[in-house]
Amino acid sequence: MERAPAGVSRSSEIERLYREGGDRMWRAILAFSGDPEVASDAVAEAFAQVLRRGDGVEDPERWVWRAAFRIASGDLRERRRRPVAETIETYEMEEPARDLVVALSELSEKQRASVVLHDAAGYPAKEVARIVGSTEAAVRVHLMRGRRRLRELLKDDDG
Amino acid sequence: MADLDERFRSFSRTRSPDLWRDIDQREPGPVRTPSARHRALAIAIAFLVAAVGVGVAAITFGGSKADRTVAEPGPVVANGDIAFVSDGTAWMVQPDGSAQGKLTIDVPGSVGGLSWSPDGTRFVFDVNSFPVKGAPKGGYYDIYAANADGSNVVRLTHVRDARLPAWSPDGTRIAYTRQDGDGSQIYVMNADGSAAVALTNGSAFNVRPSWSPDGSRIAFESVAEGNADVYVMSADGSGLTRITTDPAGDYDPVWSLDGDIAFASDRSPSGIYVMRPDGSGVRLVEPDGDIANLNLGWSPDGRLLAFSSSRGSGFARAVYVLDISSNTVTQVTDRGPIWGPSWQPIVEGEIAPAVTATVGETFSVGEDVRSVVYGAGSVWVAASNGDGGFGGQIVRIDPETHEVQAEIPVDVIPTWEVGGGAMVVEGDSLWVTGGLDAPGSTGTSDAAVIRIDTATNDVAETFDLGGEMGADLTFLDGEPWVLVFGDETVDHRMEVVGVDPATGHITARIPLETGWAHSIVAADGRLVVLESGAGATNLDGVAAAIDPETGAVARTPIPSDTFVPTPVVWRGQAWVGLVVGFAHFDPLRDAFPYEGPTSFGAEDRPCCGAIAADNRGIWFLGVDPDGGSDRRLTLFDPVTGEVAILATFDEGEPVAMAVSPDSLWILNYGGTLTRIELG
Repeated sequence: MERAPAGVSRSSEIERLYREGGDRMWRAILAFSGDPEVASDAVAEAFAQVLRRGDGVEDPERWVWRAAFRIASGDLRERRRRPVAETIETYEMEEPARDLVVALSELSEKQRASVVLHDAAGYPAKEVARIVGSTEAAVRVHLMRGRRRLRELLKDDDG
Repeated sequence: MADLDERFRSFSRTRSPDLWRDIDQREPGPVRTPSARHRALAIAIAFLVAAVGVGVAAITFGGSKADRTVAEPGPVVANGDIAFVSDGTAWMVQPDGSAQGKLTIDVPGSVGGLSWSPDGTRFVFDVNSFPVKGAPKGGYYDIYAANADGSNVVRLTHVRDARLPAWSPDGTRIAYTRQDGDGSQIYVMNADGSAAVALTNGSAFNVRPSWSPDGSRIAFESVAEGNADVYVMSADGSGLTRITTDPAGDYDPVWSLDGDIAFASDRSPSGIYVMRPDGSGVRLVEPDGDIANLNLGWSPDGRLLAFSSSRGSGFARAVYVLDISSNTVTQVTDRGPIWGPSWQPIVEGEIAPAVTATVGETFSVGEDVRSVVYGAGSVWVAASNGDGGFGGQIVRIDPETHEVQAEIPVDVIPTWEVGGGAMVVEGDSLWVTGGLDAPGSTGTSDAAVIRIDTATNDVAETFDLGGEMGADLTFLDGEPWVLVFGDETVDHRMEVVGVDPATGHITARIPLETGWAHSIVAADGRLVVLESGAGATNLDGVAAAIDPETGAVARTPIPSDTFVPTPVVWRGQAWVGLVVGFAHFDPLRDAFPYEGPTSFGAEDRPCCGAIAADNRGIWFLGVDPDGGSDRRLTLFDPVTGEVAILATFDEGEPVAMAVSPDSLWILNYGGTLTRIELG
């Protein structure tokens, strides 16, 4: 039996990665950037990049997460930012979620990336550290401070 | 009112678009990644930085003359004493001719062919056992090793014809000569005498092996049909190449640190010559008529060439030192060597023969701890005051009793940055950086640095540096340099800020390109910061070397996708933890200069930024290979490239590590300090 070329199998693997986790990543980048366009561009670009790299990427999942955040971060700087409340105004989402995204935009980038990866994407702190290239201890500090700030901004309960 | 978790659950119901068609058809844009060349350079590891290489960051291997950098004496390896053999035993003399003395070595015969280990702590030599019945005319030769003082003698070969050993630059192997029928061959064995293999064969008389500084090649003298010439081969015996072809005899090749080979030749005029390893650029550096007795040995710093000669008088041989740059010759002994000279490398600082680590007590030191440092006889822990506001405290702890000596309230909230820098003990002061409540604003801070007098435990100075938060600080030429987060409402970029320690006057403000760096160190007169890639991840990191005089920043891609964001200074050099090992970063040449084997196995990665260095090497906590929470205390020895796991423990989550003369102090998130006693 003929073996499928390596590129084909890697391509299916990437597609599976997208099918299983693409929506989670898109939401995470939306929460990080506050801009659906940035989220779509960053996710599509990150997956396109990993597709092109084929077998050159050892851990596609981690790579694509890191790349998507990096691309989104770059996009945010290149665009003259409108207030997040405006960029998500027309996007269909529940009200508590919309307030959350607006509040997230008030956090520092590091706090925001940590909170989003942990609380929106569901990664444990250790994996968050690997994705953002930091340490678990630092991520926990970002998480603590970021959540405290979010609660202040949203006037939420501590629960 | 919704709580935060409910909001995230609500957010998780947000619908996302299906992007796969776009992904599949998309032509991806350029994403900068380290080039193949940088990946190949990847991993610079100390394996090659064995003693002859340590501190000589300048070597590039295999380059042409134009791109070759001449080694300069580094801060780490110095010229020790010169060993030579006279009257059948080893002697030592200082390079200025003083302190000449005999070593007592307990071996059954006369000593010859001496070669130092790269760290200068041991040497190998051959022993000619006194002729016994049935022995060949010249007697039996075997190779032995001994400590630098002649003690702890170990016999490495039992073959009765092994001579002229040469210790490899990485310390792991020994090349030597063995008689083999009509000829003699170059052999290589492990440093413990095991696994000997022949690298040459045939009827030629192959003797006097000498390693290239990177350990990849061996030069030797080969006598065939009555004429001696210099040959070079790879360290595995492949690629044998004849380097000299002169009909005159060329003897005793010795490879120098900067890549040249010196040899003795009886071409006209006879004397000491130097050439490139490909045989080009032959030049006479010292005429000498005593070719029969000429033996050569480079100094560990590569600048001086010791040689033995009668200087044409035909008798009364002695050791001389030639300074090639000034073309001056100095006589250093009053007695004639038979073998040698061999110049002992001295690695600055103590080399601990063996290190043990015992996990000691874990005790509470506060809440919301940020960093730990050792200095002025105490362990210092920085913590916030735990109320979410600005301000904190510095806790001074007695390293013996673990009692709190002082709790010093400070207006500056100490930084939490990875690796827990933020504090430096310099002279009789403790300097701390962090954030100071910015006047007239709420919720934002200015970067600040404070000075605490270690005699009184008082805060002596508080300097506001602008920006947002001090991430780390270091000292260079007596001046504090602070890594400062930019004000995120203005510009994310970080800055390096120089501060006059007396007045707080800002002497320099050097912008970086990154919004995310954790640590600053000083090495080789430069400030070194590892800049993460743009944005929130550390993809495509660069090592930034900052000239504090001019503010010029030179950037070098870090040859690894993932790196530990806190560089560490080991013996004055900046080292960076990569996935596969620690790499030396040379800020003067903007390079990760060594290309070589990796040092880490897959399970040896640092878990976090808790890294420290002392003379013993670089300490870090390794990941738990089983995915658990065990921390593996690991020592990386940049001299040998060895990685040793010395203790495994499961005590909290490390934030930072400090090293004192007899202990490591690991600060844990959650407010405990774990002491690990070193023996």
